[in-house]
Amino acid sequence: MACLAAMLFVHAGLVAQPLQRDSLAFAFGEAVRGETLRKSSHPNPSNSVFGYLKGLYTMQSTDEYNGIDVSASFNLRGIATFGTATPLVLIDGVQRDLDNLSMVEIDRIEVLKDAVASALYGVQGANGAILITTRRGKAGFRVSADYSCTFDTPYRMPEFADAATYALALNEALALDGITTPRYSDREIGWFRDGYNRELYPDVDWQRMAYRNYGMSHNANVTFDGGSDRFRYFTSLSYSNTSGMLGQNDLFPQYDAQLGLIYLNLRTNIDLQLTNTTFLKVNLQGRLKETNRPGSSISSIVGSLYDIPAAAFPVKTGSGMWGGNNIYNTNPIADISDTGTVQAIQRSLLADMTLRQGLDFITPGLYAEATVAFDNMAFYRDQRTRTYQYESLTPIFDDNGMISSTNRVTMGTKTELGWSSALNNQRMFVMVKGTVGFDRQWGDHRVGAAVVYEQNSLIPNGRNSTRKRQSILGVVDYDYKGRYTVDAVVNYSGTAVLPEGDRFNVYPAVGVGWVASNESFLRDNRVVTYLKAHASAGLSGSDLFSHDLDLQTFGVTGSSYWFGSNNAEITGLKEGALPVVGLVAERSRKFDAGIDLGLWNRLYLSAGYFNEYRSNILVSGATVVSGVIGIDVPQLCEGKVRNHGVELSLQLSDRIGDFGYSLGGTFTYAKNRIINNNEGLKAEDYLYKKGHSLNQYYGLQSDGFYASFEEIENSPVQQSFGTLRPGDIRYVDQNNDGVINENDIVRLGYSTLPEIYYGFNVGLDYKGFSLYAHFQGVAHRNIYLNTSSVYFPLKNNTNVSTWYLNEHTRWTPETAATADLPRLTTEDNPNNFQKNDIWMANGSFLKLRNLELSYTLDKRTLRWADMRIFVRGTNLFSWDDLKYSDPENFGVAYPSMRSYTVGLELKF
Amino acid sequence: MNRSFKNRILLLPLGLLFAAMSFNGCSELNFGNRFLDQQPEQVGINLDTVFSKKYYAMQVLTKAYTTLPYGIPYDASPNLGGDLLDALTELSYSTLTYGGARKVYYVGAYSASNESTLSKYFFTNSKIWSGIRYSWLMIENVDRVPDMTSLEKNRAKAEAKVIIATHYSELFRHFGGVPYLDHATGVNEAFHYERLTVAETVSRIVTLIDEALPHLEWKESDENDNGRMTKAYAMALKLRVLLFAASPLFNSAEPYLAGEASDRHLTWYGNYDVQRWRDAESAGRAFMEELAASGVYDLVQPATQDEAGYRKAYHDAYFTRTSSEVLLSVRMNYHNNYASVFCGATNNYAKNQCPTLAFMRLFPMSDGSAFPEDFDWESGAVDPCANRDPRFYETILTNGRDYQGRKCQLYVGGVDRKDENTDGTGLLMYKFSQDYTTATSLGAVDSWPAIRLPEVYLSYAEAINEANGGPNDTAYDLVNRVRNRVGLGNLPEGLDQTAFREAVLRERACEFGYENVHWFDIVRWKNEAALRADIQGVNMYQDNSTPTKFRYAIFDIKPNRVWKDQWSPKWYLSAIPADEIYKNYGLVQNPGWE
Repeated sequence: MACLAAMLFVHAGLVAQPLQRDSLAFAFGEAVRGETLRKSSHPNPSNSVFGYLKGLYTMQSTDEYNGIDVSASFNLRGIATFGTATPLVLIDGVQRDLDNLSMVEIDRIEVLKDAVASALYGVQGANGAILITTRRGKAGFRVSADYSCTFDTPYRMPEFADAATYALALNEALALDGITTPRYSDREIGWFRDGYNRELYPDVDWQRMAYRNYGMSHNANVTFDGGSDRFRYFTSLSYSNTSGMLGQNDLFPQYDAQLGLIYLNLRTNIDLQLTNTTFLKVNLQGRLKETNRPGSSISSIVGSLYDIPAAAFPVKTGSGMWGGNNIYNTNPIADISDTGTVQAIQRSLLADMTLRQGLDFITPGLYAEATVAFDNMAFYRDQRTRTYQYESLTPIFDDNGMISSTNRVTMGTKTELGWSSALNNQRMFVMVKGTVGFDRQWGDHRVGAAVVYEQNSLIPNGRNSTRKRQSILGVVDYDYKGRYTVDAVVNYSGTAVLPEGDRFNVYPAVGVGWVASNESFLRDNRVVTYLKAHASAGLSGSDLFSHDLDLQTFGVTGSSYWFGSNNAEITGLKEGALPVVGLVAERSRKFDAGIDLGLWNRLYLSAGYFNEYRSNILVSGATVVSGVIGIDVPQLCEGKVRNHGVELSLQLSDRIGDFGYSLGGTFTYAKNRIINNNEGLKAEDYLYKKGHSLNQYYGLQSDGFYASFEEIENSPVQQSFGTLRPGDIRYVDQNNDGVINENDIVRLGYSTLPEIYYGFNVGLDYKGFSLYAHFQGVAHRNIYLNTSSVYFPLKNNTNVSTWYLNEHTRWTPETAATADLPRLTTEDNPNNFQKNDIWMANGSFLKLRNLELSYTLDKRTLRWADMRIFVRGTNLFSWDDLKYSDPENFGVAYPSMRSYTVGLELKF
Repeated sequence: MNRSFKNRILLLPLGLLFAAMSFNGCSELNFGNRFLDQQPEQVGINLDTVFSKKYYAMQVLTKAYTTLPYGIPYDASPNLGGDLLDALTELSYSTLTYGGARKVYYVGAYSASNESTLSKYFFTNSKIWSGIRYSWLMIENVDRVPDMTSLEKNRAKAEAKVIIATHYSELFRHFGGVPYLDHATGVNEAFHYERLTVAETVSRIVTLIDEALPHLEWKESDENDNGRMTKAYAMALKLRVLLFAASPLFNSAEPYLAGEASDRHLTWYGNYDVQRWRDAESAGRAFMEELAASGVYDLVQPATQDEAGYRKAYHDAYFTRTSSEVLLSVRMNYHNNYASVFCGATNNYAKNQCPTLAFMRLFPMSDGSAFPEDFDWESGAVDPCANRDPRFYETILTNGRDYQGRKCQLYVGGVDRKDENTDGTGLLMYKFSQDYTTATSLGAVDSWPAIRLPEVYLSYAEAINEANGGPNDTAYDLVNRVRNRVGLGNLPEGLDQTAFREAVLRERACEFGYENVHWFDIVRWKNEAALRADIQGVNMYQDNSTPTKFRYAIFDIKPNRVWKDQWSPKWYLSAIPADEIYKNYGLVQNPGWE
């Protein structure tokens, strides 16, 4: 465990670099170096930390507007709340988003999650913290430059039926729905096959039409660092330009609709020793970012690519218009190319500065420090969009059933490019912090102590959601002979979202450590080179809920009455919900204990246990408060969750002659349990969510398929989800009441949030060649396969996937014995599309996140610079149960990317 | 480093500090609690500001009006999932696949744990209880408003009380004794609300009305106040509640069904007392005396004494917002909302409310005589729809009539009845929906007649009959007024108590088709026979040679409603939702639903 003083310094953003003193944090999976992260090719740094840090759950998320501007979401040690579980992210001690950084700026990322560390952040600490430290200059002068080029290909995409297969499937579905007239005649299906008339009987592979084979990105960085022992600087300039894999993006000369993501980051970090006792640190970062996309959002385009069957209409009709019809009312290719563009532009300036004055003249070791941070970001949207016309074609047949002519109807409206712009979002953050501290060694005793005052205010778009917080913090850490350590924190922390008088809470915590390897009996032991046992316990809080919950308000929405005989609308006043009584911040009680072990100075192992008890979580009051009070029932601060688990890490590195190798890994198991969620009385014991995981998967348990109408008719159990037909799912009557309804929903599988999260990496090098592989996986996770067209086919005019048709056996009268999926249907079929075990899949996966091969030529050879050339693959493989989609991205979304990168790095 | 450079460098932190202050959006930098007190600005206004001005205070009352019961669907989650209450009676049958009648009631899925918006009157429907709460907020706070006269304040309070009484009258008729909220619940209160007995519930409703009466106008003097609570409506509401209370469901020597709620007198009085009928009678008499004195209200009379004239009079009577006989017209919009949800193509609730053969037979002939028991359906020699009570044509849509710009084709094979197995009765509803389409109804004005004058006449007549062991001249006169308005002759003289009662109930069924009256008449008279009657429809076949000639075939609608085969008197009252009972705040389940 990084000692408390170290964390405090980091928190203060000080230059003292205590982590170098405590570099074992890297060995024990508490921190990861920037150069390790830079083995990933993703332009967004949040996508590089998968599995490197013990306890940090990083899951890929999707971008529904732009597709390629994706980031990852974080949780520390799973989740322990019904509310927001997002950890606090600090860059150089200031609350900022990791997404704003470029990879080259990062020196290290570490996670703070134990009781003492959480108490340091008071009312913001319960979800833990992620600390990012940016790079700083060292004396001398260095320049480095690198360039890399990445090819992105879709990692996995669902496959859909061709036109003839679709037509057969649709006819099958209609027949099984009891509709006797097929939608397509055999002759028409033949036309789909043989291409007799591609205008009326098309066979369009929409995904192939919509995408080109690859996307590309270019990344270039230049860094300078240097200075003297009094003045040091680090400057980086990074440029990244990614373009997506849309095809047909530049059909019109006015614009290019390709998905684009460009950013330019400029950072300067300055350290200045003003006097012997005065030290100044200034960090400045400016960012310009621009994204580009078609006028339609990528999620609606991908939705159309999934849902529109190959047989629906041609891309363009014979008269040169976009194809379309009144069922879908959209043409995905036209959505890409003919709807204009939307650009989102981010401009941000992040600045922070710390001035530290040594006050040794008062008493040795005393110092004072002031930090000011000021961030301002604006997200601006600039769009030029338009709509298009399309043509719907229907054949007219002659008496022989052959096409005699085509009926053409023009639909939609064509508009010219219209320009508009808007401020999408903004973020202003101001922090002021003052510290008076003391750090001194007396013989065997070292004592550090500090009092920190901090206030910060975060103004997002709309001042209504402004967050203000304030805290006064006292910390003491004591160390005896490097063997025994005690850390104590008392944080008096307040937030403006709580009612006046109750805004502040005290968050105390204490941690103890025993470094056994510094005891005489282990000193100089050649096997056990490091051994530490540590434990901590304490409180922290979370205030991530809405404003004004403690107040009752009236508003004037949607409550009019019409008195008199004329149309005189008289408005009424609507009452808001009753205020939350006794609103308090979520309270987290944490306990951690662990052992860190170093063997032969090469192999590092750690094991830890954590246990968190979160209380005061806002939960609904409606299940316990009478429904007759006539007003929305307030939430109650009565939710309770326990979350506990273990963390393990391993690191080994060694060198045998010219051959070097390293092996590293982390493993986290976290299991949460609802202690109280204010559930009302349930009809059956198994319906209570209490006692189970927060994201537990619930559904009906299937029991095969109904084979015949007789079986449905004579079934002792009535299923209450619509009319049944043969091939529909039969469910288990859990409570034996003869009815299948919501009272038969049971726990199935695991939670949708993985319980197990792990990562490992292997590095090998030999004479300038090196090979590095980074794996990451999750286990004990279940996901719900409800993606339209892919897993829920044909329903409401959607498409059908090869997953449904080929990978599995769907129910038909012939396959009734072996079927593992219900019959095809064109209807809503509320029975089959209930959440159940058929649509539940194992969400575990193990991914090869990065694989890199590089060759380094050092300065001695090249004379003017170190040079490294590398080839790298990102997201190359995944071992999982989902063949057709990424287990992290299985909904209607732009595909995840498998990337191939070549690059060159120079260090002068 | 020279000293001046150092000084300049020192300016940098100060400059950044200054920048932080000025961009923070505050004029000054605050520390400590003063900093946190600069809270994000609040949304909306609070109770004190609301009752500091008449303009806002009256909006609270307006909000209470928006919660009034409305018998036809108008929003996303109407009662009974869009079915009309009559669909549960023997007079109507719903084919709405997602409506409450079919999904919940006919099949027997209704239960205490299946109380929802598909129920006929969802106990925890927020409209009921929030309407009561807004009314109490008005009553409790209006005295604080500086710019209102005491006359205005008293009237506002009186209106609020009648709104509360209206909600309680509905709850009472669906559930019996219910929890009574006598103020707007505050946040720190213990939530404990026991059900009152039937006697207490009636007395609370009557007290609310009696307190309100002195401050209400008989009819609003300002035309812009049309739709507000009036003395006439309040008095009629009192009669409606007292009549229900006096009827055998509650006023009997035996409970309709044994159970804890019956033991506690939550679902009956505990005995029979003729005084309850007398109370209803005097409420009716009080109304008629006030009507005689103040006038204004009258049945809408026909302009011409022919079928068209009678139909027009009846149509205007229930349908127009400012009809002289609607005592309270409830509005949910200005323009006709059935356009989208009632008649419109998407939902088309109206087309799914099918009058049954029993309803068709119920209406007398235009001369006042009953429809023949032994009518010859098979030969089709006589048109069963010819020469009927004019209200028949305003309530039931039959073949050959003008409908949505064409002639209605209800014969088998026609547009409106594709084949003889199509779900339905062979008849369509005409009341309220009339022949509107989405397009044609757009401009029409929409309102719900909460109580019409004929209900007062017929209720008073019934109360006289029950309180005095038989009808008197007044009672006859009251019923005949209703009949004469549509050209039907007087009732035959010399009816005994039972025969007169049946005549009145039949008159009510004909007069108030789809106006949420018949269900309660069944319930309060414990009319098991009506609930268990066969539900039948009639198929009409066009003669191949003469297209104007038809023959008819009666058919049973299967499956039977659950209460036909598995009869229990529990169906008279609704179940209280199980999850409310589980909250343990003092509710007791109605008999049969435990």
